[in-house]
Amino acid sequence: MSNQSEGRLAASFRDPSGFIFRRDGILYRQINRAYQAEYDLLMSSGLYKELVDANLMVPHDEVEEAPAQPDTSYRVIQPRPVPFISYPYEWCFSQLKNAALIILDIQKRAMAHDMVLKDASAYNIQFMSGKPILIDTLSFARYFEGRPWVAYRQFCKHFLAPLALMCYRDVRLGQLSRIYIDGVPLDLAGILLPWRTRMSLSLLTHIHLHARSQKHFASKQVTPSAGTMRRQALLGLIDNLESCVGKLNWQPGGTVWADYYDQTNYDEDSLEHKKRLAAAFLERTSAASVWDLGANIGLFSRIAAAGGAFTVAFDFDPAAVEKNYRECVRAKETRILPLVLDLTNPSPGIGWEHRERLSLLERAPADAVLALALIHHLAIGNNVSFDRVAQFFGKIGRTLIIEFIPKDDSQVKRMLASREDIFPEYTRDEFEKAFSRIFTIEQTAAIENSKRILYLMKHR
Amino acid sequence: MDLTKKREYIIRLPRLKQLADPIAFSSLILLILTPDANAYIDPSSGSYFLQIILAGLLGALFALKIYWKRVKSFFTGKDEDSEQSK
Repeated sequence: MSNQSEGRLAASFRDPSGFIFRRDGILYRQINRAYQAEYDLLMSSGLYKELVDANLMVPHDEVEEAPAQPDTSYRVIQPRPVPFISYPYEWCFSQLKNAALIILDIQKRAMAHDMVLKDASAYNIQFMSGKPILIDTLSFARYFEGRPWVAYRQFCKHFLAPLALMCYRDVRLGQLSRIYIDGVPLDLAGILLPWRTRMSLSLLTHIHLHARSQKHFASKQVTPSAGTMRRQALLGLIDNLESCVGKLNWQPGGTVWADYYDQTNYDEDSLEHKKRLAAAFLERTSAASVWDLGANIGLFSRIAAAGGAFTVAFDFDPAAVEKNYRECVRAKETRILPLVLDLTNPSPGIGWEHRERLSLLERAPADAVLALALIHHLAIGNNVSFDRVAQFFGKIGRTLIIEFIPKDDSQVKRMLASREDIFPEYTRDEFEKAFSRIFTIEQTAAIENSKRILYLMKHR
Repeated sequence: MDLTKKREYIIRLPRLKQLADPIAFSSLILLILTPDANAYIDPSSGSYFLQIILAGLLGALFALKIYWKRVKSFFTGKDEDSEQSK
């Protein structure tokens, strides 16, 4: 995306096997000579082909492009680009669970080719065409019988611990991944999980005893010796993790927003009219990428996707995002990516030098931003002035389709019922004045049977 | 001490009990593996040891599962593995 800089990517520095770099807007991966044997084995063993054919791994082409660091380079490959980079703390429960399951599936397939995953980072998974997929071609190492799984701890921290916490304690604990970039510490997960999780043999071992084992050996000096874990045992470990993850479930519902369209006082005709207007405005933008802010279960994201745009459907409610994702899976939707995001506190740049994981702004702009039934939540619910909202939207979208909800709308009245009205500027005139500083208003339309107005705006 | 014998000893069953016992747990310190040539993440000794301790149990459970599937498919006439892969 246009905000991202050229050269070696800031997130790509830990693994000496190679790194990602950008040149002329195209992403390449340099494979270092240190990884030559492993890469050749991945390609010649049939593992790469099997994983790509099964839609589990990103395909790549070997290219003649000059390496970014010639002295260490073995080869340069060009992976198929991911339409939108997302992170585990932006995924709903089922997205994280499905990502965990494909890691284990890949590990099993790799072992059949005498290879293993040498890491199990959730950041190596991205969503492409609606499915989680491994994007790190350098994640494989040769398997040596007897050795335990080197990525076991990382898998438990990146996947099992947050999933168990979301399932057994509270789904919002998925946000812990944003604080702990290398996964949720197992001792913390053990403290936060209810006592009854010790009754599950899998959670007892992979979380509770695992945490205890780490603590026990933390300060011990250990001597290398021969390997002791047979293939059958390692397959047993993967199988056990798989059934453990498979049993973790979370049912969405019971939140205000996940049931929004069932409970709202929208007139059926005005909703249909709004859908038609949004579709017409979207068509006018010819957007290839759309960000639907406050997308809820993705009603309007589906309209954008049906028009051919790759649509990221953001909502702050994990239940709404879960419902949206499940519908995407059921309908085999390939152009919608539902994500959890609080617009009043969007994902920051985190990790080393704040640059390992991109902030929302660094992943902008989208061709079009949809902000339907949202402005009152930002302006009244969060006390953000129209000017500030316009500035922010100006940073994330080239065009904007936004709905203005006047003060005499029942939703706004409900919001103001329990608080003092300190918003004398919350008027249509002020709204247009503020947004006109950043955008030009291309088209407006009143939504039938309501006092709401839909705007199509273009960045100045 | 003969390491092979020691390894056999820990693969016998009351392993979880041993893990809960700090003295028995400490006795496993010598059973660490050679570092992986391509491993760039720290696997952590605790995670390695836990896998070794669980190895026998997990291997046995896995073998049992596969055996049970075969018994089941013998009687039902369905191949569960190929069903799953569809």
